[in-house]
This record gives sequence, structure tokens and C-alpha cells, in this order.
Amino acid sequence: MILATDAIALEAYRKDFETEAIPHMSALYNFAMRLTHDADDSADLVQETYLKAYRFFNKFERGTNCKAWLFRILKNSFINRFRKTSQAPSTVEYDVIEEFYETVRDSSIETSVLDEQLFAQTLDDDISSALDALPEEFRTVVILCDIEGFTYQEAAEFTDCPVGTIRSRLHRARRILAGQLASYAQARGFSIDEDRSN
Amino acid sequence: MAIHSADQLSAYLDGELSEQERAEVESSLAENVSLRREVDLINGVRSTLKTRANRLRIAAPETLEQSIKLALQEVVFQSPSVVPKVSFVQKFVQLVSRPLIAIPTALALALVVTLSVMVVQRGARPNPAFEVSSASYRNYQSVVRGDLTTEIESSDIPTLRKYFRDQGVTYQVFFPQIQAQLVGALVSKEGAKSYAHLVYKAGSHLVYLLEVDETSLADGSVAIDEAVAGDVALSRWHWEEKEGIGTLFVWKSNSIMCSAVSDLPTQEFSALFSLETL
Repeated sequence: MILATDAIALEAYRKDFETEAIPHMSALYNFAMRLTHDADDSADLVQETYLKAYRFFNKFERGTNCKAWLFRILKNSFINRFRKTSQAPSTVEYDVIEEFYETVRDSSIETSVLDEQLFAQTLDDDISSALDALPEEFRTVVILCDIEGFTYQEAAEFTDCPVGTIRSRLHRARRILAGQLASYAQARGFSIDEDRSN
Repeated sequence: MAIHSADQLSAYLDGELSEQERAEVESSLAENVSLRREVDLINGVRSTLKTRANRLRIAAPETLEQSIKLALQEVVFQSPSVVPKVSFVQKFVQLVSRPLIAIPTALALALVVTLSVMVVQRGARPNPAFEVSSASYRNYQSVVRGDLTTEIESSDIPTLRKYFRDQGVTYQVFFPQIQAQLVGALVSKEGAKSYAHLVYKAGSHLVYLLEVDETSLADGSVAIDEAVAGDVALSRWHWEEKEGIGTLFVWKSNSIMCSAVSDLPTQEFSALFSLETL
């Protein structure tokens, strides 16, 4: 039998946890979807993340970044669950990413002068597709820093990379996205030439 | 002064450069038109992503939050890692639950009880009446210490009513409107009668409530001290604070006398109750 005082402490613990952690659910689910591309797997991953986090919440240092902590748990759960069974795409080698970046840069960026109006007309679906088309390492950094508001340091801790690598990947990812969005805009009939600023 | 790499442009926009690096980038931007275009381009993508962050997130299923909360509730009573510590009473209960220990323990207890009854019968002296306010303070402290535990963990009133009936409580237990979570209940036997006890939690505070019926007051099974009796006779609420323990609140609701204790001061404790409904 659980003692009344224990029950009360546990109930308070659960409430604290919910207040602190539940607001980050949509960010976690989005990240899980970008990793797994499967709704059921993502829901399972997020739930597993919360149950693990709950068990270690007493070790979580209040006042630190709860969202970054939850993301780390989710990433580890993802690696344990999917990487072990090779259900998820394998890690892209860095030289492959470099090659991808160079190709995209040569083909699109040099011809485009994109202004705010062009980006403003870009559809959410196009941005989502462009994000999904990024190599995983690049996509992760963009989601962490641009969508979820992580600092470079937090993203570096999350990915176990030096801050310089985060800086480099983020810049390259943004450039790739710019090129991709320009090509979507062209395909939708938005003339880039008309928007050349000089 | 030239910047070292294009990567610095993103870091510049994100405020992630050192003072010196920032100065270098700004100096380069002042001189270089194509670099300014590059910054505009990167900033366009960056701003678009940041301003549309909520829209770009793939929406979670509506049921996900609820299923996570339910899963947490199931875990809450199973998770030994989050229980602060196992009390002596709990350890003792776990120990005597083992058959090899339980049987000799039961035999020894039976012997002790038999001997005790014989001694009491020889002495033939009635136990002093069970006094409401001192019992309330004492029980509150026992619950806080974990010496007294709830026998049922539920906030469901019909379930608790059935539990009280099954445990021999003969009166209709009153559930006050209170801004606190009902955690559970227990029943004690005083002489031939059974009495209901409720435990609530209000934030990090615990509220203990003892209820006794009018009949027990009338026939002397239960006693109340003079101060409480004076207020109750005048249909007034009785509040008192006891140094080192907390606040006692006694009131009568129809034929039931309720006695609640918490470590909250009077003003905060009274704020938990919908006094007009008592």
C-alpha cells in the first residue's frame, strides 16, 4: 500500500512534471515526425520520451532548459528504438552532405536574388517539403535553431558536435533551403527576375 | 577587413558572434554588395522559418496529450524511483507479508492480544472517550509522518461511500467542497463504532478530515473539548492554531461533525473551503 504522504508527494510531482513538460509536446512530436516520417512511431516515441523524462524528473535541474532536456531524451529513444533495428535511414556521411550542398549551391543560389516578398509568398507545404528534403544532419540543426529556438550551444550539446559545426551546418542548410524555395517559387510561376533588386 | 567564412553570416544574424567577429562582419558588409545580398537571402529564410515555426510543426494527434497524461497517471503509483523513501511502517508491512515470517508473527500477535485482553478485563476500566480535536491533530501528524496510511486511494465519491459502508461506518459521510485533491480515506474503530477519515492535498499541503456522527456525540462515544463544544452549540465554525502542528477547523454539517487539520495558517486554510456550502 502506498502511504498517504507518498501519494500526495507523487501527485504533486506528476503535476509539476506536467506543467513543465507537456507544453513542449507539439515541438517533440514535430521533431519525431521529421525523424521517423510515421505518425504512429512518432506518437510512441513522444510518449516514451515523457515516461522516461517522468522517471528522471527529480534529477532535472529546475530553471534549466526543459525543452532541450526532453529533446535529448527523444533523440536517445529514437536511436535506441530505430537505429538498432535499422528501420530509420542511416546517418548521412558528412562528405555526402558537403557534396549535396555544393550541387545545390551551384544550381540555384547564384541565379536567385530572393527578397522578403518571395519568401512571404512561399507556401508552408513547400517549406515543409524543403525541410524534409534536407540531409538529416542539416534538417536537425534547422529544426532546433530556427523552429525550436535553441541556441548554438544547446544544439551542439544535443548533436554532440562542436559549436562551429552547428554554425556551418545551419548556414549551409539555410542556403540550401533558399535555393529550394526559389525553385518552388519559380515552379509556381513567381518570377524571380521581376524581383531582382538591381 | 574581410570575414573568414560565409558561416559567420548566419551566426551574425543569430547574435552568435563575438564582438570582434561581429565588427568584422559589419565592416565587410559595408564594403561588399554581394555579401549584403547573401545576408538578405539568409535572413529571408531565417525569418520565414522563425515566424512560421508554429505553422511548420506537424500537428500532434489531438488524443496524444490525453494518452500521455493517462500513461503518467498509471506510472505514478508504480514508480519506486520517485517515492521519496520507504517508511518504517511500509517496510514492516512488506516484511510481515512474507509467509515464512507472517505465520509466526501472526501467532505471536495473537498471543500478545489474548494476554492483553485478559489484563484489561482484570483491570475493568473504560477507555477515556475519543476526543475529536486532539485525535484530529494526532492523526494529522501521523498521516504526515506516514504512520497512518490511507486504506483506499480514490477521489471517486461513490467508491468511497461504498468503502465506508463496507468498513462499518453507519452514517452518511460528508464530502465538503474544498479546493484540494481528495487523495484517499481510511476507517478507524473506536470501541464498537467505525469513523471516517479523509485525506486531501492542496498543493504541497495536506488536509486531514475526521468525521463523527451526532449519535456518537450524544451517547458519549466521542468527546469534544469545551471551546469546540461552545462554538458548535452556537452553530459557529471553530478555528484554532496549534503551535508546531497547524490549524484546526471544526464545523457541523447536519448531523455530522467535521474536524479538519492542515499546516496552513487559518486564513489560507479557510480559503480552501467553500464556506457557504458547509
